[in-house]
Amino acid sequence: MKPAENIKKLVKNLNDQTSAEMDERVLGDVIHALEESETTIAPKRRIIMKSPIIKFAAAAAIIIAVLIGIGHFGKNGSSIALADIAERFESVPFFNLTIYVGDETSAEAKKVDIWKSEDSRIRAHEDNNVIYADFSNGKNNIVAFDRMTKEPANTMRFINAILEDLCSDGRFSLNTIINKIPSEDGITSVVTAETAASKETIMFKIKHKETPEWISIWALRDSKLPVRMCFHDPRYKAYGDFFFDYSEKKDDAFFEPNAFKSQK
Amino acid sequence: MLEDKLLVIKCRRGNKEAMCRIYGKYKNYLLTLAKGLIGEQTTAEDIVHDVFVNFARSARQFQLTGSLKGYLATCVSNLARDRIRSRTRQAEALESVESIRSSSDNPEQYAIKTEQIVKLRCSLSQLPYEQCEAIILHLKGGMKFREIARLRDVSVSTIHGRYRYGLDKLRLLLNSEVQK
Repeated sequence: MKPAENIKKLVKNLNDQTSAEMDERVLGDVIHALEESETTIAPKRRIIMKSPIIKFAAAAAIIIAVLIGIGHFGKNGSSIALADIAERFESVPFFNLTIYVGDETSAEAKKVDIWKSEDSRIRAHEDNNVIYADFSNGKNNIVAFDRMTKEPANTMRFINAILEDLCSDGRFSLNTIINKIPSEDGITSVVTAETAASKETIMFKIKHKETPEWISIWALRDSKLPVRMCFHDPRYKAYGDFFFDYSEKKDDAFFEPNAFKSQK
Repeated sequence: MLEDKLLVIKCRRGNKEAMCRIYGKYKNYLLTLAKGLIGEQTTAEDIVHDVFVNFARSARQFQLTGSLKGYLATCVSNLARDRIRSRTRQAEALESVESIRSSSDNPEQYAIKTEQIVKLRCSLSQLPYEQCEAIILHLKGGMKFREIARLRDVSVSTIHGRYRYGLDKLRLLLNSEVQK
């Protein structure tokens, strides 16, 4: 008699692989369907968005709308609005951001370190990889190296997505972080506008309207600089902790991939 | 989970690379599910194809409320059930076995490596679809009984029963194959 456990194991070990022909066929049709959805769903939007001025205005309007929305709550009875924090953050020339993310499936939090230079170049450390991203002057270059061998490496999709999303316009915006990371829609509302976390710091709590996700942001009262941000999604027990540091300015070579490669 | 969310956000904006990443990430998993449910290679490939094409068509309005993996697995399961309803399953099962056999270049190697898999697939195809679905979605798809129950709008105990009866029948079928 074949034990049930063996059968379970056998089923679990089933592993079919797609062929190259199938990949080609499916991806071709998928890309076509994606392109088609753009033309069928949003023809009006596409025509309007062809104009670069309108495009800029639309993007600005979205950012301003969110900032005003957040700022409106923030300014209600308090001296500092979240909009002030977001604005101040965008004017920071350089920073170091340490991110810890995890969820119920991960044994421990993933740590990512990101440094931004004055000219919008990024260096990030993730696992054994050193990643360089250059978004200055409209560039969009991301390269990664193994920290030990200094050979080119594949970056994790996670860090790629973060860097592309957050820095693609050459800026590193707090508002972008708030909107992009936890939700598909970025539908946010400030539940608690400002809480006196301490004498030196204030805290903003943002909650999504339709889902249980929330974000908290701590900032310094005097400088209005954000120092910590964390989000939590109770549905998947997903969390992220962001720590901001503005104390150390890294030199140019730190952001230069060639300098890293030539190091012995 | 977080990565999937970011990829879905990008797909909503029409990012082709993100769509390709999702395909690359889940293609083998979904093909295994489809083949486990339907038994036949070409139909399983068609199901995976249709799931991704439908996903791409709706990507711009797509709202991810649970896990992307679970969502795609559910789509595969639904499509597989539709196909099963519109076809004769027994005929496909025979075709399946033939297609697996013919795909092997080395008979000896094939006999060692794929004998159990062929027997398993053949036996799975002889189960009532509901039982096969409970087994594949739970064991291979990693779905919980309550998730499958919600998907099929039946009670958890019904799904658990289907799973248990399915496993018993699978064991009998596999043992009878051994005795032959």
